[in-house]
Amino acid sequence: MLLSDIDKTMKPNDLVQGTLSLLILRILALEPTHGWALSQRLKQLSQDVLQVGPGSLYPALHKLEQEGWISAEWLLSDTKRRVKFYSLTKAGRKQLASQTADWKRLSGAISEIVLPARG
Amino acid sequence: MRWFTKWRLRFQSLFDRSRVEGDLEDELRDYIDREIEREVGAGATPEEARRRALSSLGGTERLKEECRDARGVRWLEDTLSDVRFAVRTLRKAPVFTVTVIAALAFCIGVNTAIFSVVDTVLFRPLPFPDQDRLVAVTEGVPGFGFPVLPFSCPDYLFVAAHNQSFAATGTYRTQSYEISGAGLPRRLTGARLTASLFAVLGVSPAYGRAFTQEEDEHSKRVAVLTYGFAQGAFGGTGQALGRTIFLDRIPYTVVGIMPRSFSFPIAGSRFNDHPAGVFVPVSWSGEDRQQNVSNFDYSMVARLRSNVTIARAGADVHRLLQRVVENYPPKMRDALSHMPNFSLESQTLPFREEFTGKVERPLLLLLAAVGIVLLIGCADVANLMFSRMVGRQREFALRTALGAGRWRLVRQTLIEGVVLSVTGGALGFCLAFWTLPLLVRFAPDNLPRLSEIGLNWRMTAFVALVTLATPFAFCLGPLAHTFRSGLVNQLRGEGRTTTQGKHQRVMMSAAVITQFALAFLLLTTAGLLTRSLLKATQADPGFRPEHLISAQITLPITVYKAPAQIAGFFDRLLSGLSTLPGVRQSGAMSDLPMGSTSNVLISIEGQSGNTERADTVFCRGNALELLRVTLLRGRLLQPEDQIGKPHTVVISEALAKRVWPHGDPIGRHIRFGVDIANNGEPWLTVVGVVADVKARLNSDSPRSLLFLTWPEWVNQMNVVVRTSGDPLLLASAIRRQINRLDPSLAVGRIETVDQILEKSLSAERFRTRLLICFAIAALLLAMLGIAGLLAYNTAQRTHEFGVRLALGADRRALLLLVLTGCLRLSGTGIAVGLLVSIFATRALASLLYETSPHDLGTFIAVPSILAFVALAASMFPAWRAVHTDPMTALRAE
Repeated sequence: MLLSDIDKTMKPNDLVQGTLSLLILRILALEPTHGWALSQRLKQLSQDVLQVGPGSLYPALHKLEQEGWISAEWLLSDTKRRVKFYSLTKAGRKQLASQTADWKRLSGAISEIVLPARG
Repeated sequence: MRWFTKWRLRFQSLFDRSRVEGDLEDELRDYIDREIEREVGAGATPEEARRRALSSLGGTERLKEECRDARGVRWLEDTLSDVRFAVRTLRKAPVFTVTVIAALAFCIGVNTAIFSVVDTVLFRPLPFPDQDRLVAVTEGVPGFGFPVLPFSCPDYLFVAAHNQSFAATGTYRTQSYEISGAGLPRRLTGARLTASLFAVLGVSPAYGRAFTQEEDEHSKRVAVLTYGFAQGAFGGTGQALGRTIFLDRIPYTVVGIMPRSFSFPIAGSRFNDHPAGVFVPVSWSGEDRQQNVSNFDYSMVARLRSNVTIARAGADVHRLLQRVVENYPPKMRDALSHMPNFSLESQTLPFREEFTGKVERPLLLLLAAVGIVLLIGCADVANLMFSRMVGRQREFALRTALGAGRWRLVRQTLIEGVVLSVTGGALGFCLAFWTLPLLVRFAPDNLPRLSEIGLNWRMTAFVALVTLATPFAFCLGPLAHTFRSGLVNQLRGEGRTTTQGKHQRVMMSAAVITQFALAFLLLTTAGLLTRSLLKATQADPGFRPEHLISAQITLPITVYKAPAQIAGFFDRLLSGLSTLPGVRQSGAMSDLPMGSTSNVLISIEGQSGNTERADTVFCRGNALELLRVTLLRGRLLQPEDQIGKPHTVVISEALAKRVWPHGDPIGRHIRFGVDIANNGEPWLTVVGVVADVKARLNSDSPRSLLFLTWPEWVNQMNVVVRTSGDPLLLASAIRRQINRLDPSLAVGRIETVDQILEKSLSAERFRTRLLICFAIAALLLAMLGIAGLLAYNTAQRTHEFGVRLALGADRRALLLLVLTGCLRLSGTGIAVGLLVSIFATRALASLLYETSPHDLGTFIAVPSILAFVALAASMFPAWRAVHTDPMTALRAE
């Protein structure tokens, strides 16, 4: 990886706290998926701006599972491998709604300050 | 549901560790495989792809650790390992551990036990629905010396009919019955109730039914049994229903059986205070309802209407009682109109105060005493933990230096405390569990609600609270000090050479001083109660109780209808008894002089308008001589003083002094009833004055007693026998003698008079014994406290002592140093205790018999004991100080 890559991509540590969980919940709201696909989807959707490595992703997933916002299910893949699929729970859906609202408020407020309305 | 999922996962992580770990492994491997596939797809070699995938993970082990953290089980795992560590550490300090756990267990145990007794008796709601709406109502004639009395039948009926405050009213009186038809004939307390009483209490029979108002009014012979009685007499509730039992040889049909928990009247009530085994309708006669206005026998219970306060109900009853006299028979009304002192008063109290009044003070005293024991014990635990923590400061500093977080140390310390306190608490709970039945067994009979006493949730919460509060209170201080005083200093060892901080020393000394002061208070209390009890046991009852045995006999008037039959029975019995070997003298009296409660009003010749209350005792034969009452003037009653001859009476000194303070009572006349023209009672001539006889050994107000010859209609007598040897040996012979005359007669208790007197002190003896136990415990705990502190101080100063010795100090000087420390601490404690006790023991005055709350003997003995104990406790530390080896002490650095 080149230095410039690091500059362009943001590590989750730099993200506002709690944002990673918001992102995970949002992606799982689309469809249940496993960890690797989740990180790929994140990269894709953010057009490579957000790259979350497994070092942050898996602890975050386990934490969300522990909180009861997502649940996990072991399925067998085509290649007969055990794959852990995560899906959003009812509580998770509620949490997503509230976190989204929070995010809107927060990002709105930050934009107000950082990007003052022109004219 | 979320918390459920959470804990399911948590438990899985904890207890199904291998599966969870395997899952984690699989999940990460899946990621790596996919990452490799992706890299290979993008053109990397398999080796390169694998390397990149692994490096993106940033170390699998660290990642796994973070995942475990995220699952929120690490603190649990850590806690478990902390607990294991704590147990290991504590096992290395067995003396400390055992002492702390024992002190905690003892304090928590006795507190739990006493608390549950006090809670049940004083605070727990009564086992009746809406029990706070129940009130006990009494009346009283303060002008005649009876401020509080149960109701008379006409007064009760009037209040029940006309009040506007009560949703329902009921009344009861206890009565001793001869019961037959259910096992061997025996005497049993029964209660006569209005049918409404069950409804007032809100309790109905568990089997069968209660009797009805109609059955009560028509004097139907129906009975409701307690569960215990039905079980005991018939072997089961099913067998009892419909059976016939005989009360005083009158048949009653059993119609109902109360629930197992029902016990009534509640023991220790002001009146009618014996729980009954059988309940029958009160069945008043017409005479009861109208004429018997001076038989105050019926305890009244009422249920307040929902919007009525106790005060309003009280005013209501009071207003009614002012009008009740209008309905009295004319003769009575006329009599009362001549008596300015007569007025009916009343009291309406929450029902529980019917029985808590007498026991409240002693019970709260016990509760305070165990509370003090708990405080002293906690101070011990605090000081022990404190000094242990201080001793471990170096260890903590070292661990911090090695990277242990502060929070981790705090937690470790707390967990050690929790291990101690939970163990202590659990053992204490066991102790309470085992001692509570003992406590109940040895409790005096008149303690209310004894059968209900058991471990309850309030108490469990109490134990849990004490248990958990202890480590938090006592562990954190020293640790905070460690952090404050700077770890580096600690490591350098300065924490060891300098004696501990001034603040700490003051705290620990203050704890020991408090312990001594509290122990002083408790010892004084126990000392005063013991002295009072001794005084009471040695008190002169006014007669000679030794070698006396008494048998209670009540002849059923359904069989013994004519006075001549009654007289014949007792005459034959007494002459039969006098032939028994070992019997020196025998006689009979209606009540033992200390037991009489038959209050009467008397009027005095030549003192018109003066009425006195007195207790009467009817005597048969040479009963007074038999008792060896002390004759002060005149003569005793003799067998020749028969009814029909001029009526004679012997009075007690107290009555003589009240009525004729200056004159000679011999030859004066008194009679029953109030002094009015139509009083038909004959005049009685005073022939003798005897010394006062006490009702209870520890009562100090002398009683007015009248001893009269026995009118033959009195069917209830105590046969008293003075024996030459052990009176108890004659018990069965007496019983045989009685049943020879009437085989089906149930004989009441046969007891020696000594036993009866002894029993009158059972409540005092119970609480005094408990207090002595607590005082001894307090003393031991205080001793432990000062010994611990001195030992700790000595250990802290080992180095200093070593230096002193090396510089040529005399070993005696070291001894003196330790002893002065001990004396300073205990002396201050004793002084504080003395001051506190001087004020506090005044509150005991009402529990003391002929003992001043500032009894000199006690106030000399207690400080001496404490000083002695303090010195004894300082022996070991002093020995250690004196035998300090200067070389070892210095090398220890």
